[in-house]
Amino acid sequence: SEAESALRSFVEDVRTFSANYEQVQTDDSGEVLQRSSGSMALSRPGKFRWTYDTPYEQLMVCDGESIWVYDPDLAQVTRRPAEAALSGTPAALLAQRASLSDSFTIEDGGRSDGLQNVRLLPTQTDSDFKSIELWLRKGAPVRMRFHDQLGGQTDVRFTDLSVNQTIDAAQFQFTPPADAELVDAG
Amino acid sequence: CATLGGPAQSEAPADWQARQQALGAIASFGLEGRVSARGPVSGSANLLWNQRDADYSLRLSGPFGAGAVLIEGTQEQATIRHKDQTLVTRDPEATLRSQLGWTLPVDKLRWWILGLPAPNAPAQTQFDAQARLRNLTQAGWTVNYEEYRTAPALAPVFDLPRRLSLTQGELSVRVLVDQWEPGT
Repeated sequence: SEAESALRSFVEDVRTFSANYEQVQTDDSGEVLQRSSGSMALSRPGKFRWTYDTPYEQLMVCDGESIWVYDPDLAQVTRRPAEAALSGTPAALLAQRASLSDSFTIEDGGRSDGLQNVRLLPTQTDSDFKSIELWLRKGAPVRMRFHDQLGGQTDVRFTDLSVNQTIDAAQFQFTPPADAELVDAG
Repeated sequence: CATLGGPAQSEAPADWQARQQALGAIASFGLEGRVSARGPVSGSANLLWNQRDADYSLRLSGPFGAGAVLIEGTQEQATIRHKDQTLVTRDPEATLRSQLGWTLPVDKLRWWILGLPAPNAPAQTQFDAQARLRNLTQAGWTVNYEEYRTAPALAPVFDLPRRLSLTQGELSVRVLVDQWEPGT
């Protein structure tokens, strides 16, 4: 389907990608819970960086082996093994080189003004999400929407997209600051 | 922001009564913040809390809403929703611990988060030089107040906790408050 070919082009043709984003979280009645913004970058296979600037600073880095979450206000770093956290999650979507069809069922959400909507339904039973939607223009994500298990949604809109430019490798590395507490989360 | 200074005093300083009365009168509030647990299950989550008298709703979720948990309750019972499960319990603290491996003493935390001991339950308290609670032992938990900050939207006179940590056995939970709002 068109959705599958758009998704394949995202997974195979987009080797690096970076953008700024605005995120809006709503509950199951559509009420806005929280707005946040920041920037993101991915480098396939397996690496991505997601920064939150507002309402507070937080950094998530996947270096291919571990996913680090650093919260400066809490002075805390949480580390998880990348594969454990990757299956059927936004991280898998962003960084995986392998086709997504083993962790998601792909549905065609239709096409309008140059944007292909792709619906991803996690095959894993107790996934964190009911579904994830992607809007792709020539394989590059313009918008993502996560439908969580409580009926809420997290809508992420990207701006200032940059596709297949070189990105400094240091963006995908993380060394915990000396004063931060390191928590190994399984 | 006001950080802590001076030795901890154990007897309640004079203007503690005024603080306790003013903050104790806050019947409803909203708060946005973060929670980080370390223990049998470790991890961190975004926290959205709405309290109206004894009714509360706490929403905890990871990035993009992952692993969202919604705890809605009254004095008598709570409903916990997580993934495709909905649990009704009279003891949310115990149900959270058994189901998710971490917990929060929800009914007590409603007072601790304002910098107050929960009413009608024995507590050991220590105060800082500004007559604010510095640590508290109550209901099997030890609470440490690491930082206070002014929150005019909710409490015009007295500052409110910005960072606190709760410990019980091998579980320690840190709570950080980013924003206070008057109750809706």
